[in-house]
This record gives sequence, structure tokens and C-alpha cells, in this order.
Amino acid sequence: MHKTRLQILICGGTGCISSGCLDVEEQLIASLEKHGIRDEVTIIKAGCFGFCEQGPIVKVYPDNTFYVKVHGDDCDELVSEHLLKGKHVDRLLFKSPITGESCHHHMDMAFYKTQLRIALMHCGMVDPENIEDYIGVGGYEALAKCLTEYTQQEIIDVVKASGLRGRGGAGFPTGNKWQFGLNNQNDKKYIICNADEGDPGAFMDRSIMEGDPHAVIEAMAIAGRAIGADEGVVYIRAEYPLAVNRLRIAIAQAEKYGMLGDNIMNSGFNFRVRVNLGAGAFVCGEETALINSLEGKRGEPRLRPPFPAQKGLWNQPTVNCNVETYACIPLIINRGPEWFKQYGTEKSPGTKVFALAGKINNVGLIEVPMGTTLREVIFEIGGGIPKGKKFKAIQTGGPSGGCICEKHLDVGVDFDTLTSIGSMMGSGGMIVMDEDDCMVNIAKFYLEFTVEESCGKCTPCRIGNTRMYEILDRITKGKGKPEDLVELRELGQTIKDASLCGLGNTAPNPVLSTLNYFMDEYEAHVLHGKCPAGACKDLVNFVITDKCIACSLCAKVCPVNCIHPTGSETPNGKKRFVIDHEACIKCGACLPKCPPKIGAIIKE
Amino acid sequence: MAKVNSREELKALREKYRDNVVMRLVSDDQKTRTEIYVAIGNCGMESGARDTLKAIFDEVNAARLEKVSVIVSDCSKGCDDADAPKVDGLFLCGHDRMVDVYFPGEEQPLRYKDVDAAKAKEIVSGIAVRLEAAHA
Repeated sequence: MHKTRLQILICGGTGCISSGCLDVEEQLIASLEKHGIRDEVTIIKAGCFGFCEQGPIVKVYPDNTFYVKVHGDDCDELVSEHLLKGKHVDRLLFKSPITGESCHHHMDMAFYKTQLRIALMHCGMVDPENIEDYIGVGGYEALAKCLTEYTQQEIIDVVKASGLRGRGGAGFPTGNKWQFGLNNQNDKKYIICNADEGDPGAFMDRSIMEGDPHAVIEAMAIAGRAIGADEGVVYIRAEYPLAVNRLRIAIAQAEKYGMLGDNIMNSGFNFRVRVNLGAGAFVCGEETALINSLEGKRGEPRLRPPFPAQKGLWNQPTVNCNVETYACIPLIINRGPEWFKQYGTEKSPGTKVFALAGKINNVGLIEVPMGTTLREVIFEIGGGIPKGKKFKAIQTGGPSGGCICEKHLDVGVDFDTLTSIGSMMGSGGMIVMDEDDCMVNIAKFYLEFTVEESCGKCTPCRIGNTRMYEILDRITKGKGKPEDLVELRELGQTIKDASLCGLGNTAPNPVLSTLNYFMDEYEAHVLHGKCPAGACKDLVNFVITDKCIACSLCAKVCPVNCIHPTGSETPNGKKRFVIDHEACIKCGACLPKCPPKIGAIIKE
Repeated sequence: MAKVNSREELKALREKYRDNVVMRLVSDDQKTRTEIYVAIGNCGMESGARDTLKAIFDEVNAARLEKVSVIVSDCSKGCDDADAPKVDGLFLCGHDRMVDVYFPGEEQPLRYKDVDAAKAKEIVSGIAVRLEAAHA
């Protein structure tokens, strides 16, 4: 049965690779050999476990011990104490930030307790570079079922009954999309997997492809069977080299085992998948721009209709779904639509993967049932805001979404509720902001991104967003006028109404939503020339007060030498320091240098 | 690797490759598995508990008991008595090669001491009988 007594899983996602998991693997092997127990242990480099903040992560089975922040030097102790003698290495266990107690098992951690993994079910559990693992957990059974038990219409009926909606952002019912693909009669049809994930701070699709590539391939084959396509393309950006590599390995293995290719499992069904690298343009996440790019044209959106299901790639009927949508399909087929529908909300069944980033303790990848409140996501799973700072807002849906403020934190997250409060689901990026973030500046950051990524086809998007950016830039520099605020709203609405594709339709959202919820901050900038968060450099001055004891610590770190002892005298007869505001570059380096018990430097 | 030609062939492969992943599948569901703890710690390294471990693991594997996990534990389970005599920092509880068996949902383990290969076989077949009875 078991080939070895122990299985050790090392997280091999991009996050953990950058925090040093490859060294851990090497040192672990060396140490196992040194202690003579290499043959007792199987080492598996798995996909992302999600808790990227605590990486590299090492999981020991069957003990079920979850070690965090493991480095190469720790491996020897791990082998000699835990693996040999059964003594857990306490310092490498995750400590609950509330009780301080060590958590041995991942289900004891608040981060995992309320999560529910469907799209990520096998991510961080199977070896993504070994099809045998995937088959061992029931992989390709859903495809076999679709080829032997179901007609094309029956496959689509199952997907429809599950209520699955597109995880790429818009939330279009997947079953209906497939139905259009089936209804449009044609000899040649295509399946596309949209893996062009481009939102700042989002890595849901990347993690799925890195951790469980076979699930995506299996689902594409199922979709191909359902609509009658024989060719699938994964459109993925070249800046995801690990995901590209693992997908290619997976495709080659699937072909070798006969899960892709001609006459799959003797059913007469042929299906092939290839990987197409994109150059990383945000607009190519829009399906018609993606299709243009696949055809070798500029990545510019086309007019819809005709929809891709009618005339897509090379003008043939095409079904295009997102990575996470595909990842749910095999489980829906295997376990049935009713199983899937028991999770989530009535109109948005199932779960959603989110990438938590920004000012949050537990940065990482999470999956929760639809309808989970933002408060649970941020404060329970996410562990709250670092350094005891105050929560200000959360941006969902990336540059296309909007900011959500404290009063909406108890809203259960699904496609419809987020739209109703001026944001959107998007692909699932969540960026948390605290009291030190200036909302005008944040809106400017997102707009800068869309200005750069606009393909330039539609004037409102190309020019309108640039004008909005200029206004925001002016405001953050203290040169805004009250009428600017009116103009921002008008421009934003026009861009939304007059742009062709989703990029332009949603680009003003970060500005419009912050105008709605954080008007006071805009007013403070425009009317009083102040940035309440102290983030806009041009509106901030660093001042040394009379609490100064003339210790000179601040002057020593000043990179431009603009702090001089030219002020009033201290009781000891020394000259207090003064900041020369003409020369000051407002880097803030002096602020933390002033000892807290003195606290002479203030930001105003 | 020849291509898979039917759903039945895929099923046969799945059963074969289940061996790769069954440890991970079972371990994530701690409530339903039986756990055999072989105490090693510092003393066990000297007293041959590693042989006990190997014997137990081989028996469980041979009997294909999927829902039984063999785990190494520290010796403290057997001899956490603070008054026990110590030599060179090691407890001398007088018991070596201790094995604790926890059945699903049970707080108290069945405890065995001085477990050798023959005793290991006996323990594992006992577990198999009991699990089969519970299943039936």
C-alpha cells in the first residue's frame, strides 16, 4: 500500500519558491541521507497551500504537522527530532496570534478553519507534475463519465443545474454559455481557457495551474465533448513561467495516458490542448481581445454580437471560460450539481477563490463559500490589519472593481451583492487598505494601471481615463479645484457608458466608488490642501516640535541633509533641530528615528 | 505506459495509484482514522523502538489498512511521571518500545509495551478485526 512510511509535502508555488522552498527540498534530502532514512520518506513538491505569508510551508504526513517559515537550516532538526524521534519542532509551528499556542494541524488555524476548498481541492495535495497522483484522487473519472454515460446535452444540463457562474468576473452562467456553443452548428469549434490573469495582487488562476493543472485540462476536454469541439487553447501570460511549464508537463502526460488526443478512451472523441503565451496585456483578459491576440492580431476587443459562441476564434463557435470555472467542473460532474449547490448562495452557488493582499496579516490564497462576509474574510481568515492599525477599505475586483468601506463589511460576498454596493467580484483579488492609505492616491494608482493598459481603441477610455488621471494627480499635489470633483464624476460616467469593452466600462469604478464613500478625503485635499492619511507627499510637512532634545538622530539619517540645529534652545542650552522645508524630499526617514518617548517629529 | 482505452482501465489505474495519495487523503480526515503511535523519543532510539516502528508499519501495509496511520511520537506518552528516575537526562520508566492505539472518537488509547515483531503482528491483526467488526 504505502510506498514509504512518511510523505512530506513542500509548497512549490511561486510564492514559496521565492521564499526559499527549493533550498528546503535540497537540505531535506541531504539530511535524510545523513540520518539514513531517505527510503522512509517520499518528498512531493505540491502546489500552493495558500498561506503564502508563512512560506515556505512543509507538511508532514501521516502526522499532519504543518510547519511554517521553514528554511534550509531547519531541515536537520526536523529530520533528527521529528521524523526520527517524534518530537515536534515547536519553533516551526504556526503560533495562533490570539492565544499564542502552537497549531500542529492546519485545521486548527483560523486561516483554514472557515475555508472550503472546491476549485483548490487538490491544490497543495497532489503532485502537479505527476498525473498518477491526479488519477489516484479520482482524476479524469469525470471525463470518462461524460464520454460513457452522458450525451452532450446531458453534460450541459448538469452544468446548468449546478448554477455555476463564470469565475473570471462577470458571473455569466457557464451552462448557458456551453449551450450556445452546442447550438451553433459547425464542423469546427474551439474551447479556450482564459488564464490571462492581470489584476495587480491577484494570483488565483496562477495557483490553480501551478497546483492542479490536470483539473483544468480535464474540464476543457469535458467542455469540448459538450459542445463538439476538438481543439482547446490555454491563453496564459508568459510571465507565469512555472504555470506554463506545469501545464505543458500535464498536457504531455495526459496525451501519453490517452486522456487527450484521438479517440479518447475508445469513445471516438478527439481533443487536443495547446498553450498559447500572451505578452501580458490586461485587455487580453477580455474574451474578444483575447481571441484577436490568439489570431495574431492586436489585442483589441471586437464588437459583440456576434458573441464568441457564434463567431469566436477564426470565426468559429468558441467557448471561453476562466481557469477557476474549469477547475470546478470535474467535481460537479463527479459529485453532482446538488452537491455543488449546497454551498454558497442561491444565485451564486459554490465557492470563490480570493487572493488576499495589502494591509492584512495573512496574505495568501483562500477559498470560501459564496455569501461569506467580508468581515469574516478580513478579520478571521485574514487575521486582521497589521500593527493594530484601523481598517479603512477593501478593493475587490482589481482595477475594475471598487472600494468597499467599513459599513458594508457584513455584506455576504457574491456576484450580485458586490455589484449592488458599487464594486464587483472580478476575478477575486482583494486588497486591504488601512488608515495610512489615502483613498485619492489609491484611486490614482488603479487609474494609472488602466491608463497604461487601455488598448486605445475607444476614445472615452483612451483619452477620458488619461484626463481623469491628470485630475487625480493634480488633487494629490494639492492643486485640485472644487469643480474637479464634479468633472471626475461626469467623465467617469461617460467613460462607463461609451466604452466598448469591460476594461473601459469598469475603469472609472475605483474613482467613482471612492468618491461615493470617501468624499471627505477628496474634499480635504481640494478645499483644505490636506491629506488626512498623510500619504500624499506634496500635502505633508514634517515638523520638529519643542519636544526636541537636540539628540541629532534625525539629522543623521536625512538623505538630503536638510535637518540643522538652528532652532530654539533646549533646557540644556543646545540648539533644537529644524527641518528645511525647501530642501526636504518628505521621505519620512526621520520620523521613526525620533525616540518614541520624545516624539518630537510630527507629520502635518 | 500504454494508453487508457476504457473507463474500466482508468478505474484499475486509479486503484493502483491510490497508493500514492491514500496517506494524504486519510490524514486530512483525522476523525475517522485509527492512529497507532510508536513512542520513540530519546530512549526509543536506544531500545530498538525503530524496529518496532518498522514492524508495525509493515504489518499495517501488508494488511492494507487504509484508515490506519502509523505515527512516531515522543516518549513522553509512556513516562511523563516527574518522579521517575533519570539517568543522563533520560527517563527510566522501565518500559520500552511502547505503542498506543487510538480508535476513532476514543480519548483513551490501548497501550502496549515491549512490542517486538511478533507482538506487532498481533496488535495489527487485532486492529483489523476490530475495524472490520465496526464496519460490519
